[in-house]
Amino acid sequence: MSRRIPRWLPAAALLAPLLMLLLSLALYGLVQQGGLAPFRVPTGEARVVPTDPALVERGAYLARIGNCAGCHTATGGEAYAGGRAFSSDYGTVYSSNLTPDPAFGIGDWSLAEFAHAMRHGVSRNGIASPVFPYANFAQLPERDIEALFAYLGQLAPVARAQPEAVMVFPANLPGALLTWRLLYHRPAELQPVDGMDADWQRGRELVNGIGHCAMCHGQRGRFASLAADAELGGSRISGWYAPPLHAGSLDGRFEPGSVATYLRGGTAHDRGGYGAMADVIATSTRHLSEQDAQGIETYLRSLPALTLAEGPANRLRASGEHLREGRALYAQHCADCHGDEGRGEPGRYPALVDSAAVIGSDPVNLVKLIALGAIAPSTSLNPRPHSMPPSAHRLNAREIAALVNDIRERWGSRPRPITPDEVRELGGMVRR
Amino acid sequence: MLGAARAPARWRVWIEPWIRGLVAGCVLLLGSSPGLHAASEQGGAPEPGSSSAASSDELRERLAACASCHGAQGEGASDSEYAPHLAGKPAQYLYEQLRGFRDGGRQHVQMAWLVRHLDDAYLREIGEFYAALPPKTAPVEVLAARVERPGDSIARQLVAQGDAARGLHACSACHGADLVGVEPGVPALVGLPAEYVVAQFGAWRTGVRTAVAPDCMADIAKSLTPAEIRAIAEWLAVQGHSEPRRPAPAGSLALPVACGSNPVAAPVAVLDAEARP
Repeated sequence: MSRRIPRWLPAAALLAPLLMLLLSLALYGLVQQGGLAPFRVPTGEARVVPTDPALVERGAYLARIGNCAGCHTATGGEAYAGGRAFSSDYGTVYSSNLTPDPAFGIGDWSLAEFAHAMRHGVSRNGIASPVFPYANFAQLPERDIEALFAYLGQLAPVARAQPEAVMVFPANLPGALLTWRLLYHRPAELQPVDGMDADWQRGRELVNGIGHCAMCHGQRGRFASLAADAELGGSRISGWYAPPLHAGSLDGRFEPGSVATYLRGGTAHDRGGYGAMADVIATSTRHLSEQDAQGIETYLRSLPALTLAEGPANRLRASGEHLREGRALYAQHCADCHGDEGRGEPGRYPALVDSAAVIGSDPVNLVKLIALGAIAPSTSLNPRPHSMPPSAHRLNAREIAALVNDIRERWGSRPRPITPDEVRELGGMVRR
Repeated sequence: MLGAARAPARWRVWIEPWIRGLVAGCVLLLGSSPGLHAASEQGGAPEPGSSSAASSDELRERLAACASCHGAQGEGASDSEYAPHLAGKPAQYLYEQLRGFRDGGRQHVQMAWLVRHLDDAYLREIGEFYAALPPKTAPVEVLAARVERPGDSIARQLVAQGDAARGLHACSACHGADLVGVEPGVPALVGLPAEYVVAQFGAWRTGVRTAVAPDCMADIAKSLTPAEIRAIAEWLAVQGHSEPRRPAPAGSLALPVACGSNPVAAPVAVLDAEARP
């Protein structure tokens, strides 16, 4: 009688190490993203909303410069009631309701549960999508989280349900958010740095904490993950290109002090805030105190210049005829304000030389600004901004492409020329 | 010839503020001379004082985006089949429209994009700027060259008389007998592009365009047939006055229906009574 090898044994012998490997990887990820603590949501604690006016006022300031309402307000909806859609390759998620409505908002959350959600991105509603910048908010001091809780607690409750997220593969698989956390969430406390002045420290806390600048300006890797050290290498987001923020990208382009003025005023010297940044200025950074804005400038200018991975060298050149058409269109439509040399006029018309829209690796901002025109936001520093005429009604896609290619050829980094089809794709409502 | 005519126009943009500044300076310096006063009064330019003219030039420069569709003088771009003229319309009306584009009461991708981050004070100033510009006129020969079109009799009937059977007031009952509007909130209708007027009626009918309640135009738009709307729009587009006419002063016309922020007259029962079976 010979002993037979069970038929499942070879398969098991092969699979077991694989399973072990996967398990240990998962365990490693679990430890790296903070162990089990993030999943122990402190529900059941009593809700006590602080009413100290100074604390509420501090919370109001933090809510503004953190731009909570920017994400947590649907188009045309009540502020902080959530419901704004965020679409990406992974699907669409909707922001939550932050008003103190007990059923639809956070009206029966305790401070402990609120603080837990801010720090870990996990609440009674489950794991938050990484669209919510909990990695940044984990850097906030206890007192600031309490201030935000106090401020949100005295808003009028709005009974508005958060629409359910609609995800696509692989983000629609069960456990997708947990897996993402295991792979990419690496909470790191901001360690104090010796030898830097208070201005720099303040800026660093604002940029990495409540300001969460990296959510738009950070370079994104696989599955929309951000570099753990919060590099601000620039990224395409919400249909606009958010340029890199570091010494190399700011020093030549912004006069000393003008990053702070730009954030608070919407325009500064020969730079202006348009597109998605205009939204941020209008709802958030124009409320920055002078001191905080200066801190942000000091910190950003201290960041080492990043050298981004370059693609293959560009050998494509637009034809001379195409560029001549662009040059003629520039003289006709742009030169009156931006000048023959693209230097603009400080205080009135932005310079094109060294502007992010022109030198950036992504042409989307330039295409959109030409097609749609632009006005910087009204702010107390610049209540009556100048405006740039739209051109979608007078230039077709070929003409806009010629204009963009001429401008980027002259003052940009001589990138690959864009085609009329790309103009239509990037600029929306542009004629063929 | 054309080129020669164009060049000075471009220079004017740069030179005009200087000239105005110089004139203003001279007037201020020599202001005590009665002879000069008389001369400047004779010289015309009745409405804008020199300082407000300078500030309106300064504002015009800021509003380059508006000019690209609505014309540098708010007269409406000559090549546009859609963008309405703005010049001379009531300031309050223009301000409310700008707020509408910003806050969602009116829908137009381009307009909403441009005004979305402008504050009330700036929008009010922009409204006042266009309201102060000379109202649009139509040359006599253009008015004389019009031909009668099939829908014109329907349009004239509805514009001047309305339709009592449907409880529809005449356009002129609110927009004035000469259809140039009434302060503070009723705009001029003559000379608007037909496609623009049709689009507005469509937007009122579908609730895309809304105004300060009570939203009378929405009710009117829902009572009119598409053919009537088209007839009215095409008729209005070729109406006009050869001399600039400003909106009638506030309160000079008793509006028959409550409408937006406009003051309403004592209730008019006649039309309602006739409308009842």
